[in-house]
Amino acid sequence: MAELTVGDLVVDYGPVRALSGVSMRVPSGAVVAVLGANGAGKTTLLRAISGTLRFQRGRIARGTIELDGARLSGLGAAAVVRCGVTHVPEGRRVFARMTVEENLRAGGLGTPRRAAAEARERVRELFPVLAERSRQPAGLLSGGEQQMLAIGRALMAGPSVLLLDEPTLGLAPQMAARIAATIRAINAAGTSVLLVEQNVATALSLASYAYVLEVGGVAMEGPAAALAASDEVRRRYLGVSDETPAEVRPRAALPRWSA
Amino acid sequence: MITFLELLVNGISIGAVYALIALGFVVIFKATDVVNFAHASLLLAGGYVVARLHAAIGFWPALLAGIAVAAVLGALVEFLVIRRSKAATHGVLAIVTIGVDIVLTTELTRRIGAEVLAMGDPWGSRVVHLGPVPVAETRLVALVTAALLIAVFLLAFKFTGWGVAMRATAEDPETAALMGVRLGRVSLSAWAVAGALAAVAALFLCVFPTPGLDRGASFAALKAFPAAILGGLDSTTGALVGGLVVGVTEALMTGYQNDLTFLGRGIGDVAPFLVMIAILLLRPAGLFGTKELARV
Repeated sequence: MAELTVGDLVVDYGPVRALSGVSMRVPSGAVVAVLGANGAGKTTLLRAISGTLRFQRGRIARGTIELDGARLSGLGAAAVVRCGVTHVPEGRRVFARMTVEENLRAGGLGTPRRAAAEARERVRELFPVLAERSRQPAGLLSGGEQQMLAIGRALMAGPSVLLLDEPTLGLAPQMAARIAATIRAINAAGTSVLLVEQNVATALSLASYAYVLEVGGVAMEGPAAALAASDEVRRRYLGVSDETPAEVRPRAALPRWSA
Repeated sequence: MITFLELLVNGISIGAVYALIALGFVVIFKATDVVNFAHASLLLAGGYVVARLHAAIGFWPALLAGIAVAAVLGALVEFLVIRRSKAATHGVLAIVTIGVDIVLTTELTRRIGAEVLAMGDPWGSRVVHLGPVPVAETRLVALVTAALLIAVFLLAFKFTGWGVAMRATAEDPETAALMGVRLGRVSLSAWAVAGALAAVAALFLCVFPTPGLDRGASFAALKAFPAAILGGLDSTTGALVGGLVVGVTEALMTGYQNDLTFLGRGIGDVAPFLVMIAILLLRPAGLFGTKELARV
């Protein structure tokens, strides 16, 4: 069990400021959602936590990232994994030319053999479909299966906090629902989750608490239920409008189909 | 016919040695995306150590020392040069390795001078007969050793954690880092392995029928570049096939040189590069270069 805290985090990509003073908390065992439009800084936040900013030439200018009081900011990506925080990147990023089994093995590379073997069992139970396809190249899996593989691969490190970036992006609704159920199961097994999602309805149904990012800062935060009920969130992110829709004229049925 | 078989065996043997060099080249490219033009100088350094030490400490310890020195030298290049210039693009780093190559080669050729250094190997100039075909013992040893090393390497690449980390890094370094792979170690080990393989290759490039290690030895290593490139710069299989293609082409062209005088003298040295160009015209990614494999 571990609590992740982000304090007054400022991140720059060269001269461009991507995050300007973001603070948040992922309590032990919670699912916390981060909402916001494209470019609000959601992915940057996850990159800062997982130590992969340098791949994008980004850097933490100020602020702290701590796991149970131990500093994560400044550590390399591999060291962050060893601390128990793993990041499933946007777009799944499976190793397409390696088999499913090798992808999972790669996920356990930073972990002692024993722990990796136990994690492998857990992943097998969570995603039976991956076991069926263990010898296939990961690039040939469907999008949903690749997402499962990406999550399973991250679980191989036995994380206490899982960072998920847009896990349902581009998936069919049925598959998105399965991924959501999986996230619930992972959380129920004791892993805290920081979830970045564009699908606000999904995110708020999974999370207990949520933050809304806007141009690099926290614009709103609160319990997920309260945000889901808030007019502003409904209007801006859920596409529910309070105004009465413009008069809808019943269209004349096309003669060809009316018969 | 016997001449042909003799040339073929010699070609395969030297091709296997080229494959060792090309393999190191490919490993570095896969792990760090850097084309390592300093490879020939690592090879020369390994060979030089063996040649200088064998009289004092015996051949086998000298060979181990040569392998160790080339591996450490490779690791040092990675640690002192490549790692410090993270900001540079891969193209710039490739040019930096040319600089490293010139520095190392100049120093080594200065030390070697005009000498031809014997390697002190136990095989000497003995020739064995495979049926009617005479083959130098060194060529057979080279073939067997290279085949063994390549097999061990490929198995490690396929099955060990090191191999999985290496392949994951080759495919997507950022995601590999997210798996807890330490990229610095992967890169360092790639350079060390490449150096070690190059040192073994140096031994076999400089034993009979070659008179010994002279300052031109690194030119022989240059033939491994077309081997790596025609096979596909990011393919281990390609390095092996490329090595054999270059070795056999060179041996046959040199062997039948007298029938090919209309091409001028020394066609054997040029042939590997001609083959490389011909193959690249037909298959721009090389014989086994990456083909995209993706499904959305």
